[in-house]
Amino acid sequence: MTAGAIDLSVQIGALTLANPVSTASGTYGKGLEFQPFYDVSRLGSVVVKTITTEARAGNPPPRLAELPGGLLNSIGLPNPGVEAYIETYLPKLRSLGSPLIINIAGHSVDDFGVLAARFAREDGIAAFELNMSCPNVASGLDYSTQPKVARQVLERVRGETDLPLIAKLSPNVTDIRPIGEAVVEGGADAISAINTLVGMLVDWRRRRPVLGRGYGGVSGPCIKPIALRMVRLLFETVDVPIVGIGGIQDADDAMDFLVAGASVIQVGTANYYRPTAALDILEGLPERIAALGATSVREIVGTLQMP
Amino acid sequence: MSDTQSTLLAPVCMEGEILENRQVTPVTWIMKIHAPDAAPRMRAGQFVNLATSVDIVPLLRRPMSIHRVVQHMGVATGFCVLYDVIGPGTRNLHAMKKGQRIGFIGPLGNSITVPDGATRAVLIAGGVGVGPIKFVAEALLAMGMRHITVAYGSRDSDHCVPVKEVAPDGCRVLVCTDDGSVGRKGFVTEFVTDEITRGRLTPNDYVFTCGPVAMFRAVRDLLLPHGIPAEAATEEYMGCGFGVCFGCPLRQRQPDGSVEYKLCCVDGCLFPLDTLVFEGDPA
Ligand SMILES: Cc1cc2nc3c(=O)[nH]c(=O)nc-3n(C[C@H](O)[C@H](O)[C@H](O)COP(=O)(O)OP(=O)(O)OC[C@H]3O[C@@H](n4cnc5c(N)ncnc54)[C@H](O)[C@@H]3O)c2cc1C
Ligand SMILES: Cc1cc2nc3c(=O)[nH]c(=O)nc-3n(C[C@H](O)[C@H](O)[C@H](O)COP(=O)(O)O)c2cc1C
Ligand code: FES
Repeated sequence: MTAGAIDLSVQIGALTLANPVSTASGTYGKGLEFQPFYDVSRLGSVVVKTITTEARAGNPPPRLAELPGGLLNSIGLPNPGVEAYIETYLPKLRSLGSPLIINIAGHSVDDFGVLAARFAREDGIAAFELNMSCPNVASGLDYSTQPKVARQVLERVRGETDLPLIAKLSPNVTDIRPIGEAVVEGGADAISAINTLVGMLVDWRRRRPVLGRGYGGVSGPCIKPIALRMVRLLFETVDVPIVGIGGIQDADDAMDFLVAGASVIQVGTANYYRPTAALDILEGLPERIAALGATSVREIVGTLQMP
Repeated sequence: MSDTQSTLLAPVCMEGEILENRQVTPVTWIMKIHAPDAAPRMRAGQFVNLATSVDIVPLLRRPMSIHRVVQHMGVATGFCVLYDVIGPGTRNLHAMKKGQRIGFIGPLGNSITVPDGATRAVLIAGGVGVGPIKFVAEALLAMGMRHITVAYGSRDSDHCVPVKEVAPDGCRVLVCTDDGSVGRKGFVTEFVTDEITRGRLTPNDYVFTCGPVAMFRAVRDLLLPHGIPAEAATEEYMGCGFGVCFGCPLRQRQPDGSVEYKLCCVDGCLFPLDTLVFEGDPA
């Protein structure tokens, strides 16, 4: 099998994506920022930064701190709010040429519905990703730590749109499986996992946390093992595609996630230090899939043999 | 700006060959990188984000001002950065050898805005804030500006970059150190006071400043009563350098009096000094 003949297409609900490579919300800006580096339209999809109903200024600095192989952040979802976003940015985003996945976060169950309804009136949106799990805003975790509330969010949004819904879950739970089951019952077409892991860094000399807001979320290569396990658990539990996220920086990382059970992978923190990571991954997939003797991505998804 | 113009100025993400990496003080180095695709796009005041490791420690790139653009027979072929070795990233940088390749993203950020009719400039640098000064001075000379004064202050002789690395020929360079081991003993702001007192710095002149926040604040307090505007090259901790992480906010006073977060990397890193709101300033 030659690498050129590999079928990279994947399915999320009714949506067919040309390939499984996507970008993690909050790490890809509006996508436009990457156009100087490569042709963004080659990616299977693009997920933009979380949008909320009202404008948010974001958290006080410092918002970022490095750790070995990882990053701690407390950005706080700065964004201009839904109306300004639609007016100012959406027209430009339609020109990206890659299916656009809008990521929304509500302060209440109802907010999620309001946001979805507003965006659903606009053209050029391929799917929604529901950020039910941002650790950096008050109550941000609630929607994906309690199965009942998680299900309500999905039901509320499902009532507003027929577009595919991807529920993005938090890893900061004892067991992610019941949450996964709840969002699928609520109407999710796919599940994204994982968002960042809550954490903190301390400057003992100043007796202060390093981040301006104290706690933050850990991302980057160091969280990959945790993400892989959660993707596997979800793959074994629910019957919808899994979007794997967490520390993916090269094609081998991406393959690990696909084999573990992800149908789509998102590149996050790596976009900062290797801006071409997503494209490099896309170009590295066919030969690796061929090396497994397969002819399509779909054939390898979840083929991990657990002991 | 036309589309072709903006494409020509857009940043690139690539590797360049290290042509030189030399020590200029016990803690300061200058690295010269061959980058013929990127160098013609570079404007004074801009920065690059350097990959200091091919591994994941340190994970993030390190932002550095463009110290100089290298010209070969009138064509820009590369650039230099001037850096202090202070932590893991810059330690990696100083260990890199001629012939090695280094990843960079750039040019990033905005470039200097010199008001029409300005015939004099004062460039004020504190510590490693001397990084962008040479490029700025060269750009001003190229615009035909004749009277350029560089006021440069550092801690002591171990941190004081030699004058020939600070500014091109044709500039007046005033040097001071905190302990008096090189140049005048005292702070760089004393030179600014002198220039104002002697009528050599007025609201029609161009002022550029780069250094620690304490210096920004002192310079601002000196210039403000005289209505002298200045452009400040700011530094914030950066995740990406090109506007996607929202990790590099600083506070800026808006025309309506409100204070907003701006991104150091894409809204700056140059801002009008009197609009910046520093930690501890009255809200
Ligand atoms: C736009 C811009 C231009 C810069 N230009 C230059 C330059 O020309 N020459 C130069 O030597 N340095 C410059 N810096 C600062 C430089 O990026 C830091 O010194 C470098 O990132 C330190 O990395 P490190 O791993 O060696 O040290 P780290 O261990 O990361 O840091 C050591 C210390 O430096 C502080 N620090 C780290 N990153 C920054 C930062 N981005 N800004 C301010 N302080 C920081 C840390 O808080 C810590 O106290 C610039 C920074 C910015 C944002
Ligand atoms: C600086 C930063 C900002 C982020 N902002 C968002 C966001 O706005 N919405 C969201 O759903 N996830 C956000 N995330 C989480 C990422 O999308 C991703 O789930 C997480 O970082 C794990 O992937 P990674 O290790 O590849 O970065 C953010 C992550 C980082 C590092
Ligand atoms: S450094 Fe990422 S937005 Fe400025």
